[in-house]
Amino acid sequence: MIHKTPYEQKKIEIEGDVCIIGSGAAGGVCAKRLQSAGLKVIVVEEGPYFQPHEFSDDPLTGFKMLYRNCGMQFAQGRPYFPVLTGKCVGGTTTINSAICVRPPEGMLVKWSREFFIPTLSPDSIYPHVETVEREIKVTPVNMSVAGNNNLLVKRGIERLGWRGGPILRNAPDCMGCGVCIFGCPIGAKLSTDLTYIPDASNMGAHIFPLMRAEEFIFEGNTVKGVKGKILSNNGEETGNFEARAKITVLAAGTLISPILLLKNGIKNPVIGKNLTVHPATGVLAIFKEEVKLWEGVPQGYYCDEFIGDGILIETSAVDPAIIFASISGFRKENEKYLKSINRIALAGAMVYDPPSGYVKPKKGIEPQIIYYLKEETFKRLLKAMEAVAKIMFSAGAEMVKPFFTTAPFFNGMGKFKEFLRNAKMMDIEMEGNHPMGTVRMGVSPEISAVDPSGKVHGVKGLYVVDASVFPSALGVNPMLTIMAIASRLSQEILKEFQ
Amino acid sequence: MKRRDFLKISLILPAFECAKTEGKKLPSYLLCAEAIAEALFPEGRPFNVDVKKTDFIKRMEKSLKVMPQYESFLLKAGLTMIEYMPRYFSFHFKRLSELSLEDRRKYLLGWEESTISLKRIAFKGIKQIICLVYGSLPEVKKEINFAYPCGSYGRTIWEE
Repeated sequence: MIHKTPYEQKKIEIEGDVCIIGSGAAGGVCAKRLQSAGLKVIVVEEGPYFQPHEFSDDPLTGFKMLYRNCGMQFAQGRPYFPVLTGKCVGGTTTINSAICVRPPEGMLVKWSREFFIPTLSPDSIYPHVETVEREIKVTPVNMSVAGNNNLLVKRGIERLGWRGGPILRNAPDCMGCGVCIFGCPIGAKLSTDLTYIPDASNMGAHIFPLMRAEEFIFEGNTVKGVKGKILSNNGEETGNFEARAKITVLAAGTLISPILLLKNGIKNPVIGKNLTVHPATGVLAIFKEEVKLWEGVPQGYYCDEFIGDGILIETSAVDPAIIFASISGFRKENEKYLKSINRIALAGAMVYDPPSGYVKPKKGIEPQIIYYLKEETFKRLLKAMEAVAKIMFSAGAEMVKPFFTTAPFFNGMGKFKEFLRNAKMMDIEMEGNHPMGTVRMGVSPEISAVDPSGKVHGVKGLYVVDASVFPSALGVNPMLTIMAIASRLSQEILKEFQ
Repeated sequence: MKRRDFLKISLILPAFECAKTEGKKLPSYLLCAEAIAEALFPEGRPFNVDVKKTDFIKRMEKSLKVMPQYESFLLKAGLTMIEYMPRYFSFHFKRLSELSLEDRRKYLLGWEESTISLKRIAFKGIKQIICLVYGSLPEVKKEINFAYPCGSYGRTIWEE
């Protein structure tokens, strides 16, 4: 049952076998797996529950409804950049572009051999990847609804003879509305709020949105559930809850899971550290023909020609209001750029990053994110921008602009490259939308926070199953991997009940 | 002047000015936001939208209300600082919103392309919010012929 309005009660006390904190990619899958095994599952989620018809196409409304901190969650350090994560039932799966990339075999081999984690080996994970792919109906983008932005980038990649193709997504009936990041209004994106969570609920799980977990219930060294606050739709505290369970599962995401552990006095030098985010940047291009960036699938085509260098190129589309920030300015030429808004195309690239940051508690369970972009990652981003610019020019772009605060549009590769040679790290416009690694998995408590089954070292009854357990950055969009790992670790949790 | 002293003065003077101007109709941060939007998107260059004749201020105020408290405070402080700094750190001796459009554009270009990275980045953040609000205006959407293929839908914060 999904308890949509828990704030109607001042106090909620509930008991079950498993209490899962978070309802995103990891929490949703874990809830279904454990409930279908006959356990009594409780899911507590800090964000509200929305149905597709309740979403809005207005950017600021969308950010307020569905994003943590209204979309104003920033990493401090060098540079200062947004880290967008969802805060609603479905978590980030509700607001992402539905990209489903299989975990690279090389990475799984590295995790299982270098970090000695048998549960993350290819043999252990791929069967779960296949199951999840079937459940969320992963299919390639239908290029007939992809829109001009994707078609232009496809043309550029094909002309260069680079490797690429339509992106695999969990949105088989996508109509190319272009609004994935504000929630799919037609329910075509099979995020966990439309799949795993209702499935678990139909089997008897209790789903509580608007309940913020804050404090673990300890009995000696064993966690026996969680306490926290009931929230109103506006986020005000209206009451208290207590969810008691034999096993507590943290699936609150890379930014919140370590904060909950630290706030509850769980000491381990690794918790909160080793943050990686897959820094992502992009290139804008002005074409002769009409593009209308906002029409079609926001992210529909990829190029993995440089995947060996840790670079994955993907098309990207955003609301024009967001493009305004990049192309408006006080010089005469900005007027010309603004005039071209209908002819602007955009492609982005995300890169592999070594651990470069950490999170620490700020206020309540809100995290303070610190991240220092390393020189090697910055160079990778510059190389990615150069590759994207080549794709755009080969597709017929008249001018291209890298995502740098001070960059103008360039009409040739020569000047573009020269700009990149002198570009300053502080001026790069980037995002880090795939936080990973802050509760790293491993064998020894000296270098990891959870063991290969996901159990927190030194504490009984507490598991972590989200992207925070990744031993390193993944190198590709992580949703499918998070779901597969959560599915695999659910088997380990079930062993506690056998 | 040392950077630290410059920052101190730039914070103290606007605070002093704010205290003086209390009771006026519009808070200075809103006037400043409107002045920046007007400078970024002057009427007819290229869009035929006069920011002053739109709901921009109302929407900016609403955005500041729905934002997290700390970020909203920072934004208001930043806007207030930009509003009053031309009076003390340029030869115009006027607030930003009182400057002519061309003077305003020249002055703000200094912020956008400043050699001080903190100044540049702070301004980038402010500009992003202003652009989000400007882009949400129905007049702007109409002007750029913008509509998602599934049409406009859902209740927005502007209607609440």
